[in-house]
Amino acid sequence: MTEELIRFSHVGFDYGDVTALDDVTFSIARGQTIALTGPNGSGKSTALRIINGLEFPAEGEYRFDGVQVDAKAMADQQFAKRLHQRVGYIFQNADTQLFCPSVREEVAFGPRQMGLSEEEVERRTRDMLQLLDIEQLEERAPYRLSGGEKRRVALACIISMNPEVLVLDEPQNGLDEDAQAWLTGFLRAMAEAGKTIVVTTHHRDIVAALDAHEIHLDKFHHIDKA
Amino acid sequence: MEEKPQSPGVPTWLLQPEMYSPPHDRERFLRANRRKLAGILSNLKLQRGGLGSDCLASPLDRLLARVNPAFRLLGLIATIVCVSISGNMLFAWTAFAVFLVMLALKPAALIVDILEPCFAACLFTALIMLPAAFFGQSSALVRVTLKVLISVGLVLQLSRGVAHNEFVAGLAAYHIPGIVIFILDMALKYIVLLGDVASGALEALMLRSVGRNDDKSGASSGIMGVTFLKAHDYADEMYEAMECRGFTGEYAVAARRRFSGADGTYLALIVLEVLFLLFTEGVFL
Repeated sequence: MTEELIRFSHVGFDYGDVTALDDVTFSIARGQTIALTGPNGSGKSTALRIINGLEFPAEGEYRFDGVQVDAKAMADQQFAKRLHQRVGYIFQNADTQLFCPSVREEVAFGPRQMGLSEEEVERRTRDMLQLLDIEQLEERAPYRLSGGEKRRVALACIISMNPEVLVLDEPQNGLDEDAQAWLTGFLRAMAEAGKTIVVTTHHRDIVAALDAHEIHLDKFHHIDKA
Repeated sequence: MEEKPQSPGVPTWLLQPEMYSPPHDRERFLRANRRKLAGILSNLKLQRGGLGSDCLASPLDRLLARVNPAFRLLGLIATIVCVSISGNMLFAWTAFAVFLVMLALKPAALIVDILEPCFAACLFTALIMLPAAFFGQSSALVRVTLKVLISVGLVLQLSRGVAHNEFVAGLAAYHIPGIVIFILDMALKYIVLLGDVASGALEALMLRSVGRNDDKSGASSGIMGVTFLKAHDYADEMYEAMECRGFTGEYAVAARRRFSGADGTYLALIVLEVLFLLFTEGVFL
């Protein structure tokens, strides 16, 4: 039996006068790979922000591992930090996600935050630099890297915290074909490692390449098919 | 338990569930700043893209929206100057009553949005004026605080009632050079863009601050660094884009509005206001 990890029940959300999500219901099982598809402005990124506890449903509810995630729950610092460790969010624009002076420090930031020993921080940093094939970049400033390299560094700094869920907002944006192929392979490896993966995308070929279950949000901010 | 397939190259620690209990850390500063910045940005974005329905919910605001923003700016300056120089409290109390009527017609959320900074300004002024009360000049404390409340309140009402792009375009009526208007408009645009960068970086820091951060100042300076570098890149891009579009340093701003009956009525009200001030000061006696 598959265990439910994420559940949206009749979730509605708006930015002032603009509706982002309207009566959206879906669930994601532990270890599942999900692709949220839909046109621009259909609410895909908002759904990801809700999954990460950055926004809260105006209507309906969102549960993570059976616990309702709302403003009250997120006011509890312990809960919020644990949620952010369990759900790793890779932004659409990697530029804003990277703020440390070097790639090495960027990757080590999360494990160090978690209070791991320096040996463990070093091991995780080394493993991530190897896994993401960015060892040659370790002393470089993240801001001056290419788009594809920044994406790899962003992935490394999130995965180094060993999250259960990887949430990626349009990860293939700005990547060339080779980088997209690498990314797809990497995400499949993460799925095989047992991670739950949620990606937003406009591209159906990514959905097929990831062998993902598709949730399509239409222009009316409803689920079209699931 | 179902055994997970081993992926080649994936380190073993990544295959294990993370048994982690976050320690306590003081992070109110980070979270409060993120919320505040997001609020300011959302206001700026709303103002740049035209006003939301809330801003023009009051019938008085809908009437005022017909007036050229340049004249409204003139009216605001005239009112602030009149309130400031008035020695007789009758004028100040009348202006305060008008301010309250205008405020009362607005939706509750907008009233709170306007009053919060007003009260902060009043509190600050009252603190500065407190010594006057100890020297027996308590009326000065009330007078100055009231004048600050009216001035700040009117500025906020205008800023919430006029879209920034309309406001900047309205400056052309005063024959302000086009290049100045252009720079002002670009500055507002890039405040929003750089604010988005800073807001995103703060959000990223918050999401990755899953434990105890003993180097908060280091992380904050990283965010400032990213924002600074982005500002530099934006400036370069803007310069190149303008060169590609054949920019020669001249920028003509078309006057978007013709003089209307609403403008005339508004200007007449400003004249009446000045006459009322002169009357309360006893000039006509």
